[in-house]
Amino acid sequence: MQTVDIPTEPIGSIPRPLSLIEAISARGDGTDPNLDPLYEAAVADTIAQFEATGSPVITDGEQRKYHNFWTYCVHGLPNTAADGFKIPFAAGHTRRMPRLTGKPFRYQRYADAYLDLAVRYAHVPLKQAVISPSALSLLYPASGIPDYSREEFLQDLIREHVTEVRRCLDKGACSVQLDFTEGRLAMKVDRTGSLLASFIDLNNLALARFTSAERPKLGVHTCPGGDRDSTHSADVDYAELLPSLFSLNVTNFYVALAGEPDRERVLRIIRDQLRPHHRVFVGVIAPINPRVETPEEVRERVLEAARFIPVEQLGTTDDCGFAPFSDDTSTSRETAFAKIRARVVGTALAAAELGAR
Amino acid sequence: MASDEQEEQELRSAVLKNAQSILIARRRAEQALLEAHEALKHKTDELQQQREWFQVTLSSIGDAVITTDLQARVTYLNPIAETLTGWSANEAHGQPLDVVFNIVDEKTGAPVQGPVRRVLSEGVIVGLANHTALVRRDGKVTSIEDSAAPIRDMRGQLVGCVMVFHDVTDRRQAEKALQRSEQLLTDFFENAAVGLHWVGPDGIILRVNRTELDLLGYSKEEYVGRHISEFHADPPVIQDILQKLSCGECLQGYEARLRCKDGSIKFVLISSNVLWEEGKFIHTRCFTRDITDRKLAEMALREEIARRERAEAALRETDRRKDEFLATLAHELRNPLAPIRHAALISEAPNATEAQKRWSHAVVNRQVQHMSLLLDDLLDVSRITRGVLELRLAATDLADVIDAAVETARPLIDAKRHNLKIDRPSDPMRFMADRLRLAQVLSNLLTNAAKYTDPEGEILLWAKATEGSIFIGVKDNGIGLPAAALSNVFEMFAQVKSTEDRSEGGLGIGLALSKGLVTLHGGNIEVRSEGPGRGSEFIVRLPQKAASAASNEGLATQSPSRPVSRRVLIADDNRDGAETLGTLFRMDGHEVLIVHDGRKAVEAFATFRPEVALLDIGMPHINGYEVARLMRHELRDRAVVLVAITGWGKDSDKARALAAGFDHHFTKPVDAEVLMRILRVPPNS
Repeated sequence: MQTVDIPTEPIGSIPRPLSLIEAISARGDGTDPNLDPLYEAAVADTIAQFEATGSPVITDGEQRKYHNFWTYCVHGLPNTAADGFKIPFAAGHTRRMPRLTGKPFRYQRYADAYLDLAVRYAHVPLKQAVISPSALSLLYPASGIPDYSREEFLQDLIREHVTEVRRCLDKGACSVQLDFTEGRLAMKVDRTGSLLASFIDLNNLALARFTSAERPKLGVHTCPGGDRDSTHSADVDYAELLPSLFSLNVTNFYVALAGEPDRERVLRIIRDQLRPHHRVFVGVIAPINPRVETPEEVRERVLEAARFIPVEQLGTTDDCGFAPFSDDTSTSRETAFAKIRARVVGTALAAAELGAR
Repeated sequence: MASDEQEEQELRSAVLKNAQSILIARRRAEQALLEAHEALKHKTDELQQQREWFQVTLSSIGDAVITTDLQARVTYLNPIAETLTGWSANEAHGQPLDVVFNIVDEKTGAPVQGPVRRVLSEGVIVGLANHTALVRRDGKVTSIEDSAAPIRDMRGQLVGCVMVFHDVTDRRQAEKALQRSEQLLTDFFENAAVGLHWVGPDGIILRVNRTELDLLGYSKEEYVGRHISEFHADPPVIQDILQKLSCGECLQGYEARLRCKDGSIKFVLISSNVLWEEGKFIHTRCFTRDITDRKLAEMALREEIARRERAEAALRETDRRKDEFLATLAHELRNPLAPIRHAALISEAPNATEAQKRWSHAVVNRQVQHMSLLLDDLLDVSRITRGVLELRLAATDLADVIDAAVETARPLIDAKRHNLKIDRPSDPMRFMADRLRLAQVLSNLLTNAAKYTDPEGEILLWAKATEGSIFIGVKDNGIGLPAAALSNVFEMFAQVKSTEDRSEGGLGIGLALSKGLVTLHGGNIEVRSEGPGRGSEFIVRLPQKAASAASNEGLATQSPSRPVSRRVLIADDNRDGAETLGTLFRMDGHEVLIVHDGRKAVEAFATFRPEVALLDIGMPHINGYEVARLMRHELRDRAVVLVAITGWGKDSDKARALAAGFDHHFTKPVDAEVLMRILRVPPNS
């Protein structure tokens, strides 16, 4: 019987322990060093539970990313203000981004710092998610910044992003995932597609600085942008995004699919855009759905995807992180790991069946 | 606070502006990419050209080149490597290197580990051990030399290995030929027939061959590294040699002396020149030829020549002395003849008185006695020289000897009014000696002292016995002797001329005779003088042998090898002939009786009892035949040797002589030497 290997990876975030969330709330600042012991305990527990699911690739659950997957790297920057752009979510709430107030733009922290702690507890390969340059490009205000042109900002942004990704790779991350949830949002903002194109261009400008040997470890995650079981751009048709998405100069694509109403349609689009060097990790778990999928359901979703995507280019993932924002308590840790386990088992079932064929 | 719509507008505005900026950035990036592509293309073209140049170079060089990857698999072979390994580049590509590059030890054939593994594991340059051979795919074996080095990328990371090797078969053969040539040259150098050595500009010996070491007896360790001057016996010579060579001279046959290890000296001829390179003195080329035998032969020849020259000079001197002696002898013999003649004339004169006749007889007697003494001395010296003089040793009192000598010399001493003092022990000094001969010695010394001292001189005769010897000395205050004459005063014919050019007469053989007589006694004689005009002293030393040691001692002085002294009778009426023959026989050491007729010859047989008789045939009263017949038949004397000497020389005369009883027959004039030989035959032989 031929063996089929279908890789499966998480997106990244896991709900923080309530104790940690409460402690952060009490401190008022998630980067307070007094919270380090709680963070470490959360990371250790997350990794242990991750490995218990049988996941071949895990993350640290983004336990230390504060405040969220988008702004963690600039939180606390002295030349930012809290009154940046608002990102509205379907549930009605908004998340506000910081605003750059002056030059130069520099990251406050790089994501490889999270790997330093995670590697002490992990026994399986670790993956690290970072924010895309296009997402951070929204830090620059519309009014501009005196003596700091938009072009200068973008160059600084690209350099900081490349630095962060390379640091993660050097720390031993088996893959680095760019969180590109703003892709669908770009279509929402600009129906002409120019904005999306600019986002693609900006990200490719950064990705151009990586070698062909590094790119197989790089991937892009796209989803409607989940937060508190809600999204900010699920209403944008994948058809408007995916063609541009696959022009990003990466190998791996983590595409939310489980929550799509017409998965086959999306799969067809994917199939049409797929290039030989791509691997598509299709979302087979819907984090915003509180019901834990069964492995069999996952298996069926995998088999479904396999009808459109060659098995050697197929992988599975979750549609999104389970708690992209650190204060998201809409999903419990137990539910998240149960869903992850279902993904892992279901993917294996699908692989076995595909291999038997 | 802005409304949601305003914020949405601002967001839209911001992202659109961002989009424009991104577009600008993209265009710039595309332009940069385009330029980078152009540059890359240019670099690629350059790289391709370099690759092609590299390929051509690798294909053109004379060495074989093989490259491998990190797993030691072949990635490239150049044409030379293809030829040497027997693998084409395509076939070898991807093969493990050990399969393509099969190397063994050249001498043993055992497999040898290649350098690539170490290069790949340690990242260092490695050379193959010597004597490695490559086994080609078809089995042919080729001697090679090679080295391997790591290949690193731009970041310094090891990506493979490059190995370069070449066929050294020809070189090995050349090396063997060179080695053989060197062996032959070294053999020639070591075993050359002459010594060979090199000396550096500082004089230090750099190299030497076996021949030179054997010549001088040193080991190589004792010779090489030392300064050449240490082995030269003459420092100025080696300094001159080194100086000349340093000035560029070439030396041919330069004579020198070398010191051997055992201290002996070798004479050598040195030929040498210098090896110069770009004006720099590298070393000498020295050839050392042993000429010791030749030099010793030359020295011996020179010594021999000198000896012969000295001998010739001595002979010339002896001849001169003999000539002088003969002239003196003739003079001394002629001197008595004149007074004898005159005395004879006086005696024959009719008017001579008896007194005159008696006086002339006395003159004749004196002169004859003088001539007899001269002849006796001559005969004695001759006997001593030929070793036939016999001493008659007997117990002798020195006082008797002294008295006899003084008596003989007294007339001359008194004639010159010398004062003679005699100092001798009062006790008798008895010893074994020939009294007459010893007296002869002392009288000779006293006579000389008297002769060669001015009138009224002082002469001292002393004697003493000490430490088993008897010393007798004669000292005078006469003319003395120069130092040069002290060593030869006892030689024959040595009569020193005085500064006054005075000769006291005599043959000058007295001291030679005295020395001979003293030597026969087992003693010695010496002379001392402080120089001309300061007198002389002659000292005789004799061993004081006990008087009871009898005549056997005297007999012991006889040399069994000396010729026999015979009693010879000469009977011939020719007086001159008889006398001259008799003189010759006496000088030969024989006792001679001369008669002038046959009757006296018969009488002499009874009284003289000759052992040899030389008889003239024609004699008065009884002829020689009768004499011989009487001897043989009447007196039955068969022991005597009868020799006929006659003017009758026919065969019938000879037969008649032999029938009469003669043993020999000679016709006059007879060769005296023949008669001498007859006399020298021992009796009863």
